[in-house]
Amino acid sequence: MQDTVLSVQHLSTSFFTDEGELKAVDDISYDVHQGEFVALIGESGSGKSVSALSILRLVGDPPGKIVGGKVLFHDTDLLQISDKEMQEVRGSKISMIFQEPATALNPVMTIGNQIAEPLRVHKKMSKQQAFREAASLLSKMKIPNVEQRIKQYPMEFSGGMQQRAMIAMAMSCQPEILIADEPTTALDVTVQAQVLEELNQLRLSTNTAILLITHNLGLVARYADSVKIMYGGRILEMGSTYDIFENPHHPYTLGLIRAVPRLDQPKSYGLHTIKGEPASQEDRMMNNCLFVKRCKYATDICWKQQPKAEEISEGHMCACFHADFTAAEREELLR
Amino acid sequence: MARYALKRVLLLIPTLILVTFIVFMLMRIIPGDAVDYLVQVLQSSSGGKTIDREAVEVMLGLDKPLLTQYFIWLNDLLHGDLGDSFFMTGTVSSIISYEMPATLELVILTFLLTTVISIPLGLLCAARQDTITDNVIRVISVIMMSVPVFWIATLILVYPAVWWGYAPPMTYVSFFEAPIQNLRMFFIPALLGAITSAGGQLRNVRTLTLEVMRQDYIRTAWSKGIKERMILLKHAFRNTMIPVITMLGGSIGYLLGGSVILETMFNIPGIGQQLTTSLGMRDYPMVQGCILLISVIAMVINLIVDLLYKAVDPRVEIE
Amino acid sequence: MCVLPCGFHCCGKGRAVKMINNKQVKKNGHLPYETVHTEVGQDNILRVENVRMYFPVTKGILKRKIADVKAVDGISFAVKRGKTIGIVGESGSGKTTLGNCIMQNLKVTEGRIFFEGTDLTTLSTRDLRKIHKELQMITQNPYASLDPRMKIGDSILEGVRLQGLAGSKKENSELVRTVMETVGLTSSHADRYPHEFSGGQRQRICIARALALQPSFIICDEVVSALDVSIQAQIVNLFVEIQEQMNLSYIFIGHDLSVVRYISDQIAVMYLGKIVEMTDSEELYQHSLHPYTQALISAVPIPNPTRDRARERVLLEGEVPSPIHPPEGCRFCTRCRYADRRCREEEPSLACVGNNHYVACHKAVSA
Repeated sequence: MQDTVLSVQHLSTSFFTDEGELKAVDDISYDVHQGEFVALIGESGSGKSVSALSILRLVGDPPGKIVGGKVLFHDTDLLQISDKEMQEVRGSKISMIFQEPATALNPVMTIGNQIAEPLRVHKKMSKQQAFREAASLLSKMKIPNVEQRIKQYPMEFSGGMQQRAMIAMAMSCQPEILIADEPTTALDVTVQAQVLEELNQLRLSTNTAILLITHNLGLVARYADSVKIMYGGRILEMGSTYDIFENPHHPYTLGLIRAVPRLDQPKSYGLHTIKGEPASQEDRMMNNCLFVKRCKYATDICWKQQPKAEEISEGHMCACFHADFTAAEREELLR
Repeated sequence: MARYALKRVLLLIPTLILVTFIVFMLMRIIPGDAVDYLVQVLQSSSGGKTIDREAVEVMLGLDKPLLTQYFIWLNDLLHGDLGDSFFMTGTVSSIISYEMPATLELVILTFLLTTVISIPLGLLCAARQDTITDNVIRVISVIMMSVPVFWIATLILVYPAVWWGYAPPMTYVSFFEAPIQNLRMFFIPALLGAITSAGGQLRNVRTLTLEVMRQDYIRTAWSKGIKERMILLKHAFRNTMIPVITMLGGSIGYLLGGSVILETMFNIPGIGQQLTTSLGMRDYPMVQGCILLISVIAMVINLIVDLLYKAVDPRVEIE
Repeated sequence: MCVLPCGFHCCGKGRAVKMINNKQVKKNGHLPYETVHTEVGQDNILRVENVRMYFPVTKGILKRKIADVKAVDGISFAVKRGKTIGIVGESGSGKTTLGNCIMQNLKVTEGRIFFEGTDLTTLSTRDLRKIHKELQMITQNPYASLDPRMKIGDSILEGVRLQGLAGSKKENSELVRTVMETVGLTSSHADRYPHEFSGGQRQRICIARALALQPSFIICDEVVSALDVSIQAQIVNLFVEIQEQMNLSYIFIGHDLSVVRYISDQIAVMYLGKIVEMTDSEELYQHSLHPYTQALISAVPIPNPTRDRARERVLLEGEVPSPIHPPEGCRFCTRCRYADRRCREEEPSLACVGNNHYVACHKAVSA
């Protein structure tokens, strides 16, 4: 494996509200290697976005607060450095794109201005230089009529083009890591496929690692190198993409994969569901397996103890007492 | 842009005609008329002699039917003639043109000071939300909002005079003749006006900026590694300005109306003072002229606000 | 007889093609009314005939019309009782507008919509209200479509009350209890407010609200797009279950072919206001003929890396063109990798190629 660029260690982020502390991210650890495509999968409320925002210290404070852990970028703990040093990392070494490109771009600034901004701030480019660079970035993202487009405002762009402009902006300083928080959720399936493909091409040509946060399992299967499955603020299972999709051990991972409607299977393959609703705040207070209420394999021990992550094979971890119970379902999945 | 502006100016014409009608009619609806007042004045000055009411009516041109009077006035207006004052020597336009500069100067100065106080302090409060700075400024702003302007004005006129024998100058000189002396006279009333209106504006700027700072694009700006000051000034400010322009634009009308108090207290020969006097005497042409002018100013400011909108916010489609 | 998108009869493919070549069909691409019209199949609950919805684009103070946005441009299909037709397309394809046309939320520019044999386009507002007891629509955003200040029990009963069908207090709460249980909600939660529910639960409430009127037909517009994967599967299955229980018919509108295919018996693929391909859902994914459909299928990834990465992928270039100035000829020609001169000049008609399979593509028909 190549060098580790980012190492998240025991990261915990909580929100403090009138009702008390909500552990949005609860003791998660993982590594990102140079040029790697890492996917963080989870449903709404799983803490996947908060964990990503925590890396760049962008969680709104108050009510959010990073309460523990380390975020090692190379050997620097990003949680310990000054605000000024953090500003130098953001957008230059680690950058980020967001879910809704329509609201994530400033409506009263031209696209060109917004893409040129990180270049001017971090690379100290002149205005002209930065604009020339912005234009070439945009044309790399397959946007036609760049000269004209660069002077336009976000509202004159379609959703897909707005997200491409966001990517161009985030990649402008050739960061080592790009965090993409649900970048395609708001887009049509066809545009999702285009944007992800372009993002992946960019990764291969620049060797930038991508941390993709999503609930779209299909796109992850297509592009990612490794996958972390998050639920209720914790990582339940992680491993290589092949481990997770073709040898999943956690009942939640299995349930998620089987809930995706399959176009390559006859209709009779069916659409499997996970009963119940995602872990609520009360569920998280308990010191047991977070998934226990929705799990069909749950036994007494699952209600009493929190399972520890155990290694299934090299690099494949699963936090479940009954990872063996899922063998039959696993076989059915691969049928 | 130019075409749009022209269109808007042309659209002002029907509005203006409507305004003239309303102004004219409103004056006639108020109980008590100019004739009664003049008869009374003449009677007392001539030692109780009976005065011929009808002769006075004819003299003032008030014997004709109401609509005819209106059209005569409107016709004169179109020829640039606002008529003669009933009670003062000189035409309405000459009196207004003598008094307007003082009022305009007061209003503009007040407006500029309001803006200069409220926008930076509002931004500062938003940037330092819930800190001591924020709380102190907000408490002061509430006090500024709730204290009546004439009370502070009285304090300012009385105490410095008692303590140091200082009083603000009370003789009007034009800005173009003696700018420093002129500003010495205007600065204190303008600052007073600004302080009372800046309290509310400041709080609005703060709320609006906080609202903008919560938007996704501000988070994007943070993720690009931009400094806080630049985020406030470059990313948030323009978005905040859109509602702030409307707010400040609207406040000018209010300032025009409120100038009466300050003009009276600081002896500034302005249109506000004139309007109150003329209203008391039912000096129809004078009042009509003043109100018409104030309406025109309000409309022009509205137009400027709309045009500024387009300049600030690319999302406003002009057509 | 030939080419009956509404009757579901079909003939040999040769004749359909020949007929189009004989210019019996007008050049603007849809089938003329005479050929579409056919005997009303007894089992057709809804029939849409040549529906067009144009929105004028105006300019200046005088609102001079300068162009039309042809959001829906000559759509015909029919839905059998108890069955589901899926409508798939990207944003801007006109699929939601079509749903609103059928609901009569929009007055169609042209065309007719028969529901249970009645032409909805001619009905008065009062008669329409009666129809709306039978014909319901559920929309995409379960957050926006519930009144935040109304208890969900009252939200569910709102339609019943508007129809003047509300019974005694006891009957009402009995009805709320039944529909809530049907959609998998705890009936004791009827006096809670929408904000106390998750996105998936709110979508269930919206379904319960539609079901309270015991409709026979529901238009589902992107009802699961905003939901998480595990919840999306729950809701899709719920739609299938209640269809079987209540013999409901659906129009299921969506942009994700994999979801739509799962619930639909038939699928119509829309592009820029027109149907480009329509057939049984299994046939569509096994033997799709239109390049656009193929691209849509290809865009849906398979959650199995070995299989997905081995697959040949068709990536669509560019974006949907503006419906104000759709491309000349075939509307898809600007993005189609097979397009040639004929595609850019002559608009293909929706023609039957056999096996109840309709496609509007020069390349597919001649192939």
